Amino acid sequence: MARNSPALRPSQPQMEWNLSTDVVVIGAGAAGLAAAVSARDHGASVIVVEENFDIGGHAMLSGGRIHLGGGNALQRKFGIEDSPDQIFADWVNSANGDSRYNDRDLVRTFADECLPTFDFLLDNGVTFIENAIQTPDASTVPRVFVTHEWHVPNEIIAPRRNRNGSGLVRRLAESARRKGAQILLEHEMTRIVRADNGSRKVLGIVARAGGKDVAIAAQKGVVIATGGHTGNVNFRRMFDPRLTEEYQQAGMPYSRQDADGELAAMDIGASLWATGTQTSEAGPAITKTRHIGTRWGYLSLYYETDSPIFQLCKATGLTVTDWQEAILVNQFGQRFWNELDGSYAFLNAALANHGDTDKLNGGGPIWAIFDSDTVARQKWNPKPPNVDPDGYFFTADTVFELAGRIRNPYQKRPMSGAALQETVNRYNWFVTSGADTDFDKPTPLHPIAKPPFHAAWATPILHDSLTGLRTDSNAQVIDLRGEVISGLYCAGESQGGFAQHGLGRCLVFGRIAGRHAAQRNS
Amino acid sequence: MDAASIAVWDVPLPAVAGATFAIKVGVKSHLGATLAGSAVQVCDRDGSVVASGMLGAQPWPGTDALYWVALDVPAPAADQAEEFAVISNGAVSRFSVAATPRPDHTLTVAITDQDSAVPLRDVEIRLGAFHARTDAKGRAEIKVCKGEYELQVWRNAYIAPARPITIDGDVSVEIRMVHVPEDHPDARWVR
Repeated sequence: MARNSPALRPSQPQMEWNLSTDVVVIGAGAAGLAAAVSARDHGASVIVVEENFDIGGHAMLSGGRIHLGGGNALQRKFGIEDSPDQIFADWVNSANGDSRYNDRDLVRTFADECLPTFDFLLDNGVTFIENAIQTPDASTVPRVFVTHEWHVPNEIIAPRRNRNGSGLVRRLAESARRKGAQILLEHEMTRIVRADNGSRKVLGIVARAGGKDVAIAAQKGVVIATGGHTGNVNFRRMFDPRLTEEYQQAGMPYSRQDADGELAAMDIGASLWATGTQTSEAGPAITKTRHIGTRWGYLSLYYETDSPIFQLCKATGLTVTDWQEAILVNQFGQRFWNELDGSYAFLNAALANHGDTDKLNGGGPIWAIFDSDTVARQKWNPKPPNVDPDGYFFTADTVFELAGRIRNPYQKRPMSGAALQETVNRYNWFVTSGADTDFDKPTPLHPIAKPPFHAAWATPILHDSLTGLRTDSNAQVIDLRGEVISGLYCAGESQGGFAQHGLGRCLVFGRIAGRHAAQRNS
Repeated sequence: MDAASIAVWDVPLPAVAGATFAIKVGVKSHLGATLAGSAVQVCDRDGSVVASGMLGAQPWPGTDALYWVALDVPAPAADQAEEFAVISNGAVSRFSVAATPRPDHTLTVAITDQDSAVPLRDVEIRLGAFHARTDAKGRAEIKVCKGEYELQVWRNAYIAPARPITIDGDVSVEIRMVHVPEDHPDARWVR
């Protein structure tokens, strides 16, 4: 380890703490807010640090679909039979990719804590739409209920688009504050402080705020709830070297998910856990885009122009309802797969090396190519603010010219006009003949022929962090030698070992982390 | 950089063998030149010029400077597809067209939602080389040739199986499509 690494920094007797509390929570998303409320419920004083200008993290932009079961009140209302044992059986089922590799100790705890976590949400003002949802994952019975969207439109980052997670995080933040937790916005954790003496206990954190360091002592514990790692190119490539810089991220440009919690914990010896779950292809680690022509076009995330962060989004994107309407080409202007497919087969083709000898990893930008007939059929208006002409949407009079107009930070070389023209000519022949002999797109319907022509950013999107820090069942972080790092906790997408998509595990282990930290002797 | 590039559109699907079919050809100068009055040629696979014209005075609507002309091109022989080259201002582009005998029958297709019986507009219909799109009343008439086909229909969020169909005169078909709502984007995954 390097001499100046945080783990070997000078001992802390001279550490001057600016603030002191029982429990410090890093991150005010679903896991962090659950931890804060839980810690307060168990008598601890709490400071939450959040790097963003507002609370919510990734959960603020989520659909608010909360995966908790076990026979909760709403399940019973709908006659759904469920139990903690059934949850456990489902989520360790060896037949399914999203359950096969999970840490069964974590799943057992999750199963046993779903019911009290559901009640915890109700007790803290979270309300649900009464409609039980069966999910296409390891769960064998409907366990998902959706929270109501927050009722104040200008306090929702992506309003009017079913981002009902706003109702979850706003309610939890409201409750946390009411119960006395202090939430410090625009405080970015820069390191976790661990004692150099024999106890090796975590003592607190240092955050950066207003250009100054703020050292916050944690008498009982520090909870990492920073939301995962998809936004950190170097970190995510530990699990999948293909994921170079060009890929979109769900949650951006609001929720960075830049692995700062994982890195700070690893700096003091923390271990990762169940890293293979990130690439098991059983969950939405990577997804196809749905809103094209904008930098951030995650499937279910659509930023209206009145979003408080629209100046960062820059465009709503054009929503693709039918991939018959466009072809998808790589940076060389070549098709690479059947555009109607959204499976990992498609994604793997998109992430393949398409002949770039300078950059062997990553598949490079993917562009949707279409014509004015598509625009008419889809009733699109391909102008700002619907599209972002600053690198993510281009228009030209001919296909050849279109290729030359593509200028994008991730398009490392000009696209050949001749190559794109040849691709389009060949595709148009498939429309004429009725058969795509290259990629078996069923009955290609529409030629790309009528000017003007368009190229829209359609590069795949990274979504879930399905691996992260190793913890025990109390959410205590474990080091590389298998020992608990005293006073350090992790919950949410930064936690490894349980590759369940969504908010359920974040809330359960956030609540556990807050409770256990609060109950520790300081 | 190439001095110009070409777009070809409104190519029929299919053309009628032995007749001519109309296309539009647009040419864009990459050097900023005004191409009004420039020559355009269409050549067959042997390189013979089969159609020619001069670009008009006004760019195609919605484009910056795509000067265009409508041309009539002789169709290939029946049941053949042929690729043509379009040449103008030093640029070459290609397009393909399939030809059938002159269709002498009419297929009338009426498409409704299976549950609501509401007519479905904008349904794409494919019948071999022939295609059409339903109107607001959920109807389409397609001139087709005698023969055996597979009738395919396509509309986003609806499904109906392809069905064999024999055309030996004017034929009417009613199709009921099943609505399969597009998954809410959140529905695929839990969050």
